[in-house]
Amino acid sequence: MLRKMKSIIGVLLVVLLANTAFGQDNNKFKQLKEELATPNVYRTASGAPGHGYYQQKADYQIKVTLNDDKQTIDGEETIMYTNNSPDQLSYLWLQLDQNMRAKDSDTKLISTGDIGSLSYKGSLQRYLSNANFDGGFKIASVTDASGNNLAHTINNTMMRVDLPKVLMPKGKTTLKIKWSYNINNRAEIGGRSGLEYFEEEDNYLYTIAQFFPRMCVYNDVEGWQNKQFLGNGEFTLPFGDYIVDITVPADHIVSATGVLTNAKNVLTAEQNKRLNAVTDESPSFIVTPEEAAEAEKQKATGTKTWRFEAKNVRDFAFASSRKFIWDAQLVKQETKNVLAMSFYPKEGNPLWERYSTRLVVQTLKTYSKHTFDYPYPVAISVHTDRIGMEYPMICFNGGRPNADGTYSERTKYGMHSVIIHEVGHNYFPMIINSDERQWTWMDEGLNTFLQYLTEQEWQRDYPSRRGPAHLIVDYMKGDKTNIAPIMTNSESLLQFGNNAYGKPATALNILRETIMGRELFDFAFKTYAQRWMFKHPTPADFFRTMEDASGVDLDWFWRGWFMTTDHVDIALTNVAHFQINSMNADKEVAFNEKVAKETPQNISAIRNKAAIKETENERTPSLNDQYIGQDPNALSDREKAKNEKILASLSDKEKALLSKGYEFYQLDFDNVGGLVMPIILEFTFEDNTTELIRIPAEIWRRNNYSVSKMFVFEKVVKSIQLDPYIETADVDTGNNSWPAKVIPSRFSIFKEYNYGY
Amino acid sequence: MKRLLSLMLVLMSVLPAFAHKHYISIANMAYNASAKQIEVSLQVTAHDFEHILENHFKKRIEIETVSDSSEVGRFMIAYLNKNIQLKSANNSAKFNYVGKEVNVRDQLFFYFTFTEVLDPSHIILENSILFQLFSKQQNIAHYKFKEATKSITCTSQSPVADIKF
Repeated sequence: MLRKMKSIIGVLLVVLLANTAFGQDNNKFKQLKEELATPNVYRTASGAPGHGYYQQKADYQIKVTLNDDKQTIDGEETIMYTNNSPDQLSYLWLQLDQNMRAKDSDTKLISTGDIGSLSYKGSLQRYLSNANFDGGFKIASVTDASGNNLAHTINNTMMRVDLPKVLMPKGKTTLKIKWSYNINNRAEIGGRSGLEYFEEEDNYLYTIAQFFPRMCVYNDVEGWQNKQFLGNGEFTLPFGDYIVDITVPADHIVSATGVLTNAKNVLTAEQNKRLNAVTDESPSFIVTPEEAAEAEKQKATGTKTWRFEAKNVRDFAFASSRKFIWDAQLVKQETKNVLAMSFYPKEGNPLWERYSTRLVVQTLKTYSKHTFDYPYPVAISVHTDRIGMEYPMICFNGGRPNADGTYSERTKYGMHSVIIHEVGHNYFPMIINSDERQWTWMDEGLNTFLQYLTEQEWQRDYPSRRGPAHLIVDYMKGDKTNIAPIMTNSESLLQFGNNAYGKPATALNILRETIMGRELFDFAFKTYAQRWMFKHPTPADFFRTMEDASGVDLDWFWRGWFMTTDHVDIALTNVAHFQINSMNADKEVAFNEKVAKETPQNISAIRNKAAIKETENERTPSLNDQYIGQDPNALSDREKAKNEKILASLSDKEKALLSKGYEFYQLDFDNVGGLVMPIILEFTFEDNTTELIRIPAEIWRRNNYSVSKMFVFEKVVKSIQLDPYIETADVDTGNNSWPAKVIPSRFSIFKEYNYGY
Repeated sequence: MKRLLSLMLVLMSVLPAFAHKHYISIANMAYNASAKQIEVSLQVTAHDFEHILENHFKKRIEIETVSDSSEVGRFMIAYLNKNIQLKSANNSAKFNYVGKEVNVRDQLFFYFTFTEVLDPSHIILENSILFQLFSKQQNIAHYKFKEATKSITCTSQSPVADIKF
C-alpha cells in the first residue's frame, strides 16, 4: 500500500522510535552490576586476575597397581600441599569421586523414577548391577609425612583431614594416603572411567580416572569447594606436578597424562626407536597392529612399572590394555613441539588408525589459534566403546565400527566430533581451569564452540551438530517449564546437552558472527584464554573480559542469553511505503492516479459498471454542477496553495531533494520471543538488486518490545527478508518476510519427497 | 508389597549422564484441516533410540539399516504406537506410521499422523518415548492448530499433557 506523506522533508528524515514509558528496572539493557560479584583485589572489573590473585598448589607422588585378575586398583600417594592463600587453614578437603558408586551414595539415593520404568526389558538387570556393585574408595590410612595417623572424616564423596597444626599462608604440608577400589564395568553400570570387557578373548581395556583421593580447590570465590560429586557436575582441581608409577601386567601398554620417563624399561628396543622417529608428516606406529594382535593372544604373568611425569596439571588419568595399538604424530608449534597420539584396540579399526591422531593434530591447531600454543608435551586420544570423557593430556573416546569393519556415516562423524571435543577440553577446563561443579557451560559451552570451528577447518561443510544459530531453535522455542537458564548450577540443569553445550556454543557463535564481528570477538576470546590460562576463572571474569577487550557492551546479551530462558522471535509486523510530496502538480496528479488504480474496488462497484447501463445522472447531463465531472485525482485549490507556501520556505538544497523521487518505508517490528537481537534486513528492489542493512540490538534500548524504523531508497522495494542468513536463532521464520511467505512443515516436505503428493 | 515398592522408588538408579547428554525429543505437530489429521515429525537422538532396539534384540543395531518391514522395524513402529498416545474427547486417535529418516547429526526423525481426532482443538498427549532408559528424558511437543502454536513437555514424572486452544 503506497501512501503519500503530506509533511515536509525535515520531519521525514527523523528516525521514528516508539518512546513509551518503560520501567528502568526491567529494561533488557540494564547493566549487570547487581548480578556479578563486586570486583576486588583477586578479580578485577576488567575481568583479569587482580594483584592479590592467588591459587593453591597440590603436588602428587602416586604409586598405583592395576590388578588385571581381580579388576581392582591399589594405590598410595604423597600429597605436598602449598597454601598460597592469605588464610590460615585448619583442615584440608579432598575429593573421593569413586564414592559416587558406593552402595550408600547420595547419587543413588537422590535419583528419582517410578516403578514402571523397571518393567522394561533390561532395566531391572541394569538396576540390580548398579545396586550390587561394591564400588567406592576403601581408605586404608591417612597419615602425615612421618606416618602418624591424621584425623579424617568422610562425608560421601568428600574427605576432611584435620591438621594437627594450622597451615599458615605460604606454608606447606604433606599427606600420605593408601587406598583401593573395585573397577566398574562401564557396559553394566556406566561411569566416566572403568573397564571394557572383550568376552571372545577374555581381555580387558581399562580407562582409569578419578582413581586417587584428590585435593579440592580452595580459593577466593568458594573457600573450600564444598559441593558433593553427584554425577553431573564434573571437576575442578588445583594445579600441581605429578610423578606417577603405574604397575600393570607386563604385556600391557599404558597411556597416561604426562611424559613417559622410563620408556627404555617398558618398551622394546624397536618400539623405543619408533617413538624417537615420529615426524610431523603423518602418524606412525609405536606399537603395531601385529604386535597388539600377538599380545592379546596370551596373558603375561609378571608386571612392569611405567613412570609418567606431568607438570602444572589439574588431574591425572591413564589407560591400560594388552590390546592397544599405538600411533603418534609430531605437532610443531612456535613455542614447543607436541606428540599427538592415539591408543586403540583393533576393534576401533579402520576408523581409528585412519583418523584419530590426525584429528588430535587438527584440534591442537585450531584451538591454539584461538587461545595459546598448547603448553603440554602430549595430547592423547584413547578408544573404548561408547564414551567421551576428558582429562589433562588424555581423553577416552567412543566411535566403534561394526564387527565386520563397516561403519555408517553417522558413526564416523560421531567419532570425529567426540575426539575433537574431548581433546579440546585440554584448553577448557584443563588449562583454563573453570569450576565445572558449579558451571558446566564454562567448559562445555566454550569447548563446543571451538569444536565447531575445528570441525569446519577439518572438512568443508562438516555436519556440525552445534554452533550455527538455526540448530538451537527447536530447543529454545515453546514451553519453558522444563528448561533453565545457562547460568544454572551443573546439578540442577535441565536438558544438559542443549543447556550447557548447545546454547552457549551457539550464543558465542552469534556474538562472533552477528553482534561483535570476527575480529573483535576473536581478540576478546583469546584475551580471556590467555588471562586465565593455568588459573581459575568465574563466569563474571569471562563476561567482563569479553567486554573489556572488545569495547562492546554485552550486558544485555549475557542477561538475555545466559540468565533467562527467553528465545528470539522478531516479527516484521507492518511495511508502509511513502513518497515525498514533490510539490509539482503534474507529478502529484499522476501519483494519485496510480494509487487509485492500485486501490482495490469493492465488488458492487465492479459489477454495477456492467449491470447498470446508464444512470439517471448520465441520462440527464443538465443535472451536473461544478462537483460532477471533476477529476478525483486532481489537487484542490487549497492543496495547491499550501504546496506553494511550503515551496517558498524551502532552501535550494531542500528543493533539489524533492525531485529525486526517494522511496520511504516505515517498518514496524515486534519482539515476540523476549530476547533483544540485531535486526538484519535484506531489501530486494524492483530491478532485482539487493541491499543488506544490519541494525544493532540497541535499537530496542528504549522500547524492548516494539520498534519502528524508516528506510529511504532511490528504488521501489519488491520484498523484504528479516534475518536472511538465519544467524539470530529466530524461532519463527513465518513472520520474517514481506510479502509473507508460507514455511512448509518438515512433515509435508518428507511426504512430498517420499510420496510425491 | 506396598512397602517394598516405595523403598525401590527411592533407590531407583539412573544411568550416568555423560554418556547421553541429550535426553530430549521434539515433536512438531500440526493439524491439517483438509486431511482431518494431525501430522507429526518427531525428532529423537538416534543413538538413544538405538539403545531401545538393542536392549530388546540383544545385539548392536544401526538404525540406518533397519527397514520398516523387518522384525526390528515392526518392533520400532509398535514401540512408537505404544508410547505416543493421543486422545481427544475421550477417544483414542488412530496412529498411522508414515516413515523415518536419520542424518549424520545423529538426529532420527519419525513421521506419522493421528486420524480420528474428534476435537483437534483439545488433545491429550502421552509421550513416554525413551523414559524406560533415561529418567531425565524430556519429550517436547509443539502443536500448531490453525494459526496458533502451543508447547508442552512430557517427563517421566508427568508423561501426559493437555493441550487446549
